[in-house]
Amino acid sequence: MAPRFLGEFEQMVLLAILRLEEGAHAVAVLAELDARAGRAVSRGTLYKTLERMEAKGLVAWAAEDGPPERGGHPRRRFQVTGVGVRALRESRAAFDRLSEGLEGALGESGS
Amino acid sequence: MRSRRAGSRPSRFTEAVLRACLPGGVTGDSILGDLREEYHRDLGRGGPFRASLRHLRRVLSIASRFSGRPGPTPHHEARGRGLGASTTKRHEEGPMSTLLNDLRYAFRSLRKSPGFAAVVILTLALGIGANVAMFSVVDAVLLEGLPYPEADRLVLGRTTYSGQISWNVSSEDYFDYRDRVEAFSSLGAMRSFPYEVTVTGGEEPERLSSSMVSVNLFQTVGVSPQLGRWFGPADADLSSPTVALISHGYWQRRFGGDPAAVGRTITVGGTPTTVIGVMPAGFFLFQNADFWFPMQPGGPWTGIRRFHNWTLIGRLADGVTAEQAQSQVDVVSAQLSEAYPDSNTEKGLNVAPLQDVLVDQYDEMLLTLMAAIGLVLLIACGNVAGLLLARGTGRVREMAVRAAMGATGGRLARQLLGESLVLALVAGVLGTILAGWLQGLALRAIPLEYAGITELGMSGGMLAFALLLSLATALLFGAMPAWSGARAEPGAHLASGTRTTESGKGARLRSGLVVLQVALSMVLLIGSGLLVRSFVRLNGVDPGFRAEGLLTARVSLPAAGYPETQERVAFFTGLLEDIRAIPEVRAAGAISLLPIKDGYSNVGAWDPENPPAGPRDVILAEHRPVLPGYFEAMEIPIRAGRDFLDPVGGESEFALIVNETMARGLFGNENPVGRMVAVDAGEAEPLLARVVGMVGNVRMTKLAGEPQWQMYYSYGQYPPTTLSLAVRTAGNPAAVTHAVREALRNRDPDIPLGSIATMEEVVWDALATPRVLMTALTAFALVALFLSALGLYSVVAFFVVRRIHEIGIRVALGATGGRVMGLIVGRGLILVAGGLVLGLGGAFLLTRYLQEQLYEVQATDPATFTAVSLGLVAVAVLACLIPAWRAVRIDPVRALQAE
Repeated sequence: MAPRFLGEFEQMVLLAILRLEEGAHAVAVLAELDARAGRAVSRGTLYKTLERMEAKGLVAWAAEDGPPERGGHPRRRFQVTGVGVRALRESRAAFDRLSEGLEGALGESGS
Repeated sequence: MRSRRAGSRPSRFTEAVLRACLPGGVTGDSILGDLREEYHRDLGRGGPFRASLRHLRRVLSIASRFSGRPGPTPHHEARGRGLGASTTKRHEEGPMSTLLNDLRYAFRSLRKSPGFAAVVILTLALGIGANVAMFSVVDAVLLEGLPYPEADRLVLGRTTYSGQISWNVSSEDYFDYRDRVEAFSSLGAMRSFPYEVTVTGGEEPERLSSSMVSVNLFQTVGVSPQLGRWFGPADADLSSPTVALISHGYWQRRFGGDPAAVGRTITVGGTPTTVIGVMPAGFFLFQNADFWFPMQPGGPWTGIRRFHNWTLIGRLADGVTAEQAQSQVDVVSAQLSEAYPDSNTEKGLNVAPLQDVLVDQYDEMLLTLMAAIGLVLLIACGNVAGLLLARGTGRVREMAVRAAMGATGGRLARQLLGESLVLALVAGVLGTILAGWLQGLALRAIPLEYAGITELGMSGGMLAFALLLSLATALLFGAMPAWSGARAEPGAHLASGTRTTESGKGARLRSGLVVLQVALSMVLLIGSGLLVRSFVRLNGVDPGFRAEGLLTARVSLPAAGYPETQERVAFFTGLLEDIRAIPEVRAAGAISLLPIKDGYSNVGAWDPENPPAGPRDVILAEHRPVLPGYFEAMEIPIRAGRDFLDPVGGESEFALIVNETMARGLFGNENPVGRMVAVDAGEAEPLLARVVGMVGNVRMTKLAGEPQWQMYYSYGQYPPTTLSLAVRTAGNPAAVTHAVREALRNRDPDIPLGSIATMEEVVWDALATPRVLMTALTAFALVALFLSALGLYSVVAFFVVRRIHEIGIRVALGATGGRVMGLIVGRGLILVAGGLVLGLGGAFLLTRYLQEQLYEVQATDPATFTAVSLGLVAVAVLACLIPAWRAVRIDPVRALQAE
């Protein structure tokens, strides 16, 4: 059973992993968060969040070989699980429902 | 070129820390790999220092999040590859996690008193930073090898002569050792003194420093040219075309880094010279040089066995030790003594590892500074421990409550120690950052090029040292407060109501700390006092000439353009006349090598009526050709006789002016003028010269030490192509530089004015090493004094607060202000007296290690010991007076109410 709603940072991480597709390694996720969301995240926070989301079944990973400068240490490629995708969809839908009709207050042009 | 110590991976130490915090299995491994990847990327962008800092920050960020709770269990790890991993895991508490809980608690508790934490952290960060920076210097110089392949096989060959040792070896001896000693896989030589050459053909003629090396020297050392080739055996042939290797810097300046520079011909000293290669950037071997020319048997500075102009560097053959090489060398030395008794009796060659010899130049200074900085940190630790103890007194109730709720003594101690650890670690990180900046300062202050070091960087060793030092620091200042705080007795302290008291033990501990601090400061102050006195002596040495208002510069004629003596004399005489015509110029002269500035050159000289018994009895005299007017310009007094006459045809025989020391050495108290002196000019028979004058002694080669024998020739009778100018001016000497340069340009536009400096700058530079040591040690000593005074002040102030009740009663009973002040100051001075006795003893034992750095001052100089003791007591009295003054103004009624 997936948790009903996700935290903001969890959503960002999941979206970053989805965007990166095959290239979703931890270092790339960091760069993506920085580039797209302007969030400079500490390593501790990211790894801890990934660990937590893995425990919740939102993400899974597969180990693969990396470039030589890793000194033979494996690289984890993250993927969003079905549970993760569903949770993301539900969280976004909840946000959308709550935002409905507030375009004026939020200063956005309604679509 | 990057720092030679930059690693391509992060330090083992930080990785070990990380591994201890991270979960095992693929998760932990992959995070290690991520950090390595990022480190590698940072290395390419910002260099090793930044990369290491960023890495450290990442490690700390991860450690702070991961160490509390364990990661995935092995069971989970095994399923890592599958999708949809399980959601429950068993959490285990490891020892690391308890420690980190303590740290987290400590962190929270320190956040409640940010002022206290900031003071402690800054104090420690400064201490740790200075120590880490100094360690990196010591590490690079003393612990790391030279930056050459298999540097431990490199040896230095130095001449030994009747027990004396000299870096300079004769070319002929060199050839014999090179050919006869099999213990060297190769033996190279380099001219001991750099010399300048004039390079023309660029936009302006340039004076550049150059060096002469045997054709095998660079192979011996193991440094290949970055471009082009090494010298080959053919280059050692006098008849072969002139070739040179150039420095990376000159290659960039003159050729813009164009690889086609190799093979080009440039004009050096009027001779077409082919560039055969470019040495790598940062290459430095004993001398700054832009050109290296091949040594040629029969060429310059060779051919005479008793002239010593070369420095030898050898590479030991496989499996041969320096001792074995030495015994082979000794055999050859004996053969040479027998074959050439005139020059080689009692002469030998000392073989010593190059690294050891180079390190010898620095180790005393570096270790002195390292020890001094270590002492400052110790004193800072004392202060912090005092602060923690005082803080502990205020927290007695907190501890008592925790003890009452079941916390064991060990648990309480761990919490307090945890606080110290947090403080020290934060200070350690700040200190390490500070150290990166201090390194730059250290490199500027301490010239390390001799040891082949032009750059320092963050190294694993340095980070490890910073961490170890932080941990040691935490233990040093934290152990005592933790131990004293952990013995909280719930009943006693909870019952003690609102009054904060300090246990007798705590007060004694703090007093003991102050005694130690005073003692350590005393050692530092005496050390710095000795260096200051020595420096004042050195600075006050009369060099024999007046350095103020004197401009110096060097002019070198191309030998091809000025082959005849008359032409050279006419050129320099005319130039000096033009310079004397400049309105601000009072006098001008010229000499082959200026005192202090230009190095040395000496030959044997003796009284022909009283020749030396053997070669080892020959006394060497510094010898210099000068033009008339030199002594006047330098303000060197002529004690007897006269200056030289007109350089061309003025003197009827070979004329000589000697200094007072030489005159006395040769002729006792008799008037030397008119006497004959025999000079070893490298011929079979000595040259006979007549003394025409006697001048005052000059500190020729260095400021310290007694003046040697010195003699001057008339330039017309001994005309080298290069002379140094000494220009005496009315105002600021640097202001006439332009006019002097113009005068030279008008005489010959192709000749540059080289190494321009005022004589005051030259003397200032000559005192650089003692000045660095003195300034640094004095700064440390003053910091130490300040910290100790602060410690003393806080102990005495605390004493006043604790005794406020008693003081109130005394005042109420009629004690005078003087008596109360006496009580308080006396209390402080007892501590100072203890520290003074310990410190004097310590200084007496330790300052002897400074003796070699001292000039005309004994390491146990009673004046310094007394002055420092008095000064320290004065500062201590001041530190006690402030709280004593407050005690005197205590209102007895309010003091008694303070119950």
